[in-house]
Amino acid sequence: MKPPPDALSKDARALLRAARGGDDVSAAERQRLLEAFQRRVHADERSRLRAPPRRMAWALAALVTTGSVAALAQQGAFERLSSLIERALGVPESGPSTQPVAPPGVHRAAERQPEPPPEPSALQPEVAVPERLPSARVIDDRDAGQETTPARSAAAVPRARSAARSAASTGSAASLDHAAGDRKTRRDGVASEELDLIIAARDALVNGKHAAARAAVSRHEQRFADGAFSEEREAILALCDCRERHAPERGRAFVERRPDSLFAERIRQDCSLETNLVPAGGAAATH
Amino acid sequence: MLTALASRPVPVANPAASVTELEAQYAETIDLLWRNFRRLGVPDAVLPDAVQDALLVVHRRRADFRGEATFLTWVYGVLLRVASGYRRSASRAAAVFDRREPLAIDSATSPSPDPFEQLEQHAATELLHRLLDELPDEARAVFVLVELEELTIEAAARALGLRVTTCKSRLRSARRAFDAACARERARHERLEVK
Repeated sequence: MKPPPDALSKDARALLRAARGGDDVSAAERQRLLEAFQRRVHADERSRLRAPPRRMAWALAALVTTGSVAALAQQGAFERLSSLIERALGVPESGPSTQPVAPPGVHRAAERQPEPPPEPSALQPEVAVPERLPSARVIDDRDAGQETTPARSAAAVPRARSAARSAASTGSAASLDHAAGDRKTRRDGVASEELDLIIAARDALVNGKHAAARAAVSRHEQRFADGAFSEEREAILALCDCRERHAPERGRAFVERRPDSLFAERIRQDCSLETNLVPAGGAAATH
Repeated sequence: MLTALASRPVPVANPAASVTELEAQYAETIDLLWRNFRRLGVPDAVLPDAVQDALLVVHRRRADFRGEATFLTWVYGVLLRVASGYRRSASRAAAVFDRREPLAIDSATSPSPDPFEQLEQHAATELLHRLLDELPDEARAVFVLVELEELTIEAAARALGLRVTTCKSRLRSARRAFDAACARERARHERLEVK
């Protein structure tokens, strides 16, 4: 019997039959996905509960604006309002001002409005770290919200982090400026590629994309087995294990091997390991 | 499986849902997302992330589901949009992730424990993906939904946001292109055998 003109050929149908089931997800992978999904759902719901509803925020902003304008109008101070707007827009004032003139930086600081809370996003995993670890910037989650804002170019982020890392490695604030100044000259091909891989892994980790983080780390391991960022690589892998699979073994091994690492405290927290923080001057507790 | 998913009620929000509860709600959705992301060309390295993202979209926006289509069709719509985004970012990130990491051969559940059949299935799946890669994205989506997921043309058109006639036309050209790719593959195989 002749097949209908639109039907697939015999070979094509045989291939589709043979491949049937080949794309199915394994039970173990499905379980991992569900567990990771549950954590993202909970983080999502928590961040929604914390953030004020958007409509309410808009209503409050409208009320405050209306109230301010009304108060200014009542005082007959529209001139002052327009002056404020001009200053906010950076327009030089045309007439003499009755206010004392402060330096530009002071003006901006005084007039700067508090920024609205960021849009709740489950893609940004929630982390709470008691103190900032300067050298841990490369994989510090909290940097993500500030450093990966759309206003910054994608290329600027790795460069800035490169500078931050070299500054952190020398441990001086002055070297940060130095690093920023001559970062172009020191950004040779190999180091740049290695750092790009680590940053790709770190960004993926921050965004909860653990598979992508693992892929980047694995690529780094293949290309730069003894690279300058092997410690970061191990830390990212340990964090992936803890966050995605609740598997603290790698994290525990990392902390045992590198108890003084700047990433150790973060790993202890994310992997729910016993904390090693001791009062200043005291000896580190032993596990 | 598809019938079960199509008749399943829309998942209800529950912030404190356990893994078991989520599994009851989303296990079939995960299966559907996983296999179709692979067929739609999402790289294996980011497959779990793509599934997570699509699941989260389904979970967050389930309240927006108005019942104009079946829940299944709505999920396909989400799937196609997320897959499109991942394909775009995959091509952007090709410099970093330029290596397609094939999943382990035993990562797919197989109804048969026979390793030879499993191997054959794996080879067929690889070939299928290669041939699907040759289709234009628009034709590929229609082909996957109709030929592999066995959706009706009307349901596929709704998931893709297309007119039925457009969907039919794309399916026709996708079938022709897939047949031609199959024929090329067979010719290549026969040439190799002769050598």
